[in-house]
Amino acid sequence: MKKSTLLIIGFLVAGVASTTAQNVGDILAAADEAFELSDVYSRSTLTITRNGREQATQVMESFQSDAADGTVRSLSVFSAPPRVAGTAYLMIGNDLWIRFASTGRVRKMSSSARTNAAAGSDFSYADMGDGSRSFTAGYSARLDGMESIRGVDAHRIVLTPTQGDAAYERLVAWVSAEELIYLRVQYWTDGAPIKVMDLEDYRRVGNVHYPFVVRMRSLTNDSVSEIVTQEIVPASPRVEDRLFSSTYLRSLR
Amino acid sequence: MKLSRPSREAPWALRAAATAIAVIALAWFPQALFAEDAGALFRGEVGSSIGTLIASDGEFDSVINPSNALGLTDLSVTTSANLRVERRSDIGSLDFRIDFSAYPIGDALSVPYALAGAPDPALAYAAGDSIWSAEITRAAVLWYASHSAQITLGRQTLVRGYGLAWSPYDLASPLRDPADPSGFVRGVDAISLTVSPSWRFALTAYTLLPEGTTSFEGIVAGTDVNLLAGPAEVRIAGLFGGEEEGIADPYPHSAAIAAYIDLLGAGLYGEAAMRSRSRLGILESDGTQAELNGPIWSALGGLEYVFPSGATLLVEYFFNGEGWNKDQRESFVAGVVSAPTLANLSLYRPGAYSRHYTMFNLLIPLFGSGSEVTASSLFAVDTGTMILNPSLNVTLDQSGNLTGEVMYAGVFDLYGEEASEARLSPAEHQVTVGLRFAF
Repeated sequence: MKKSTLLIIGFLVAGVASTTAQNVGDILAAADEAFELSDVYSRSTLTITRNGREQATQVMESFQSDAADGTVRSLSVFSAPPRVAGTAYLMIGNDLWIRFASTGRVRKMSSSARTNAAAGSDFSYADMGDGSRSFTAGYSARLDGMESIRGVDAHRIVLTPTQGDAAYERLVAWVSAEELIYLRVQYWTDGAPIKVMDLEDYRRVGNVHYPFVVRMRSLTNDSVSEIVTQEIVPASPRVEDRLFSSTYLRSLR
Repeated sequence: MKLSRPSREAPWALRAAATAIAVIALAWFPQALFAEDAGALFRGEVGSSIGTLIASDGEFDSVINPSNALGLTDLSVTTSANLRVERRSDIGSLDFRIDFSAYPIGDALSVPYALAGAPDPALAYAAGDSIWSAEITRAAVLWYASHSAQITLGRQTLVRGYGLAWSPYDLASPLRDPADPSGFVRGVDAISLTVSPSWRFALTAYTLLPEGTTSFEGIVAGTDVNLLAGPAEVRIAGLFGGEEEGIADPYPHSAAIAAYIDLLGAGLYGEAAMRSRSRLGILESDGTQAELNGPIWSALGGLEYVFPSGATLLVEYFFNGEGWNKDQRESFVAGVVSAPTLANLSLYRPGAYSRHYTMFNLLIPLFGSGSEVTASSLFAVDTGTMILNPSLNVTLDQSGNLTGEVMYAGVFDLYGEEASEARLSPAEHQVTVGLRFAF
């Protein structure tokens, strides 16, 4: 084969790869817009259903804001039911602090706690904290065909972590072909999918479409956790820098 | 029994500042806070439990309960309740909690470590074989004075250390009960100012009024600095305890350092404290109390790890510089035998009695049933006392507010030492079944 032929094939392959990467990037960039709200205050409910039995609905307030250096920050404060009222989680980057309602004590937790169940739900602390920004931050993406999710044509995108401290070894995301919004995200650990998150009831919030219902279903237990957003306010004046510190967490009641 | 405190002299500037802050807070703050759009939260918990004690001699007789002077019985009922009123807004918060309890008089000594965590109620009286108590454990107003400063006035918690069962770093908080590490710790009466210009740095300065002190002379002061650097968090604290007089002093001059670092997913933490003297004295064999002067060092090392299943493991080692060596323990036993007064018995601090301790705590959540199992043990290395404390906590209703608990506490004597906590305990085993309702 002539060198010129090889060169042309090389350019073609590179061109196709480049186009694919660009397409994936564009798709994810569009889908991530839902999470590009800044200084977000929200009030939502968390309902866990285990073995077909629905547990008491938990009510929480959340404050989310990126620091000036881009560090993801979130604070979640539970106000109901009475047994958990006053429990709060603070995440700043990879750091996690928990305020225990029973004692009022604030405790810093190790990074092993980040992937564990938050409030006994199927969401991990990392899911709740990192979800404020994007599911794909820290992952490289690859298009893996098309599938129908809830009757909607969707791109299937495989995401692999680019950093060693990622909470999951692999994510598979489905993004609707037409609206370019996340429909489903599957989480993998130890070579197998462990849970699936469905994002539904997209509504206009500011300049983006935001999922008001996020449902996480465990693939290892008979368990489903559903977060329903009751109120969401982007660019909220209630979201201040001082909220994102262990000092503020200690002051909570 | 309350130990008397020496009087102390506070600088006049401190008195003036404390008075000014109190006047401002009391006059202005409640109106401003309640004008905000904030929801008041009234909540609390009521619980009752039935416990059964088992003693090998069948008579609950020990050095600290001679001839069962406290009247321990095979079965006993304990009832407790707490009520909290909380309110939070963008400008500050209110925090009030009152604890009520009714328990058999002998309970203070019936379980291995109860004495260390026994309340010091503001209102308590004995009726029949029971003690009834009511205690305000929190009564504080917090004001966010600016974006980076907050002032808290009233009965508040100053717990800052990392240790679960022990925390030598906590210079200003009451001793906690190592057998109930997640138990509620009573607040201290203080004014505190926290300045935090960045989430990586916070400085707290406080003055506190020790219990029983009614004048400015009794005020002591302390600081706590918190610094985050990379994966590590470092804390440094100091306490000025005023003039040292008397045998017992809960607030000797102290300095402490603590650190937490995340390593391969595990949380490693350590604390070290130096006190000018022990907070409690020692008991001579003739029944007289004496000071235990310093400097006295204490240290703690711990590890925390959360497994993928959600199980949380905590392991701690505690070097208790205020604990007693073998001679001092034997002297205490002889002293209590010769003079078994409440004042002398109050020197006994189970779980902080000897020098070296280890703690193992494994919490296993059973998500499917809304329950959790806790396996906990304490081991006094130098006296050979092993405490095993497994428990099962079950959620009984759909709301999650009604819970049931079954708990076992057992004391085992591994070395056969006469002056060990195992030998001092009037009962070897206790099984408790209880119900709690949160509202």
